[in-house]
Amino acid sequence: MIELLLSIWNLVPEALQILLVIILKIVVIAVPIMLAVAYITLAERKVITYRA
Amino acid sequence: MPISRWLNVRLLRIGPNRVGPRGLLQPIADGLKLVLKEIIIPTNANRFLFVIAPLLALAPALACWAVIPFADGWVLADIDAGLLYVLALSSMGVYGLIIAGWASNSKYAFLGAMRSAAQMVSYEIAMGFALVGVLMAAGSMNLSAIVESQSGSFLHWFWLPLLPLFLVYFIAGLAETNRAPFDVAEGESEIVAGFHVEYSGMAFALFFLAEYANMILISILTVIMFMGGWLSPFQGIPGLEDLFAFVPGIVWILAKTCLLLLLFLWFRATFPRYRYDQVMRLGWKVFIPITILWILVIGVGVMAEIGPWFD
Repeated sequence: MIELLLSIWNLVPEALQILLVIILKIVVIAVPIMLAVAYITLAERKVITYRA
Repeated sequence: MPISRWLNVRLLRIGPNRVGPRGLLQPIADGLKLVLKEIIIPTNANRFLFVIAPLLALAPALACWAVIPFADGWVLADIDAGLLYVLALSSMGVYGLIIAGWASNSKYAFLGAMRSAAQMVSYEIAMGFALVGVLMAAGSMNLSAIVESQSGSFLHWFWLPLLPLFLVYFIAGLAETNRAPFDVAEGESEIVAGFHVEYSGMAFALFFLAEYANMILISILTVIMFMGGWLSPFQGIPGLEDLFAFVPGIVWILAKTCLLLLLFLWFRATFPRYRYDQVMRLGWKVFIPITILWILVIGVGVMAEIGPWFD
């Protein structure tokens, strides 16, 4: 399976490979930040409405 | 007493934290709502600037993450001028706010933009000076090198020798992100919602994302510069160091960041909003003198090679 993926990856032109790696890096950072933002808003509402 | 208690129970309506099990689907519902809502552009607004302003606010907040080291070697761009890059990009965020306030063609939005611009510029000076202290102590502007220079134990972290700068940096971070108690730029009771009063739908959501992304960024930067980044708090403590050796660095940095994020939420739930002149006075007359004074103290510490931080 990994060999198959590697052979497909090697077929991709080098310039496109660089672009895809850059996009992947942006996604790896940006998506968890967006999720963190979404759930911090929820945490904030829970903290503000907390009743002991 | 029983009547007020009964009223409290009546007023405990189904609020915006109840969708899904334990409210876990609420953020998804909120996001979906904002994406589907219409973006209303006021009649006399500058359309181009009105649309581009939220992007200008969000882009720097996300771009800063390129140089953040999450663990040893876990960084997208390990550049030597990382600290300078963060300072430069974090000051760009204010343009989004000013442009949003101006392009809206609304007095409330314009007042909010003026307030936020003055506030962010004022507190940026104190933040910059606090970072100069970190730079002097670590001897590098590379964020990974700054973390490594705090290696040893939690007493080697820069929070101890740079305690006033640590406090100034975190509080200035609160002000820089326009968070409570420094949220005079939004001030619902005074200027409705400030710079984003005319924004709706996804355009408003981008401002919202920018504020919270900046909040997480300030928290992780504080951890990197003052709380040992990905280093274990048990480092150098016999017994405990080996016991917690299996915990990866990314867990420590995220745990410390969550702790600071909790402070952001706690402060909002606790403190009333500052008056605008008090915000300015705190920035210019308290924080800037403290940071300048402590830079001199660090200078003496570095010259005298006081250990374990400056040797």
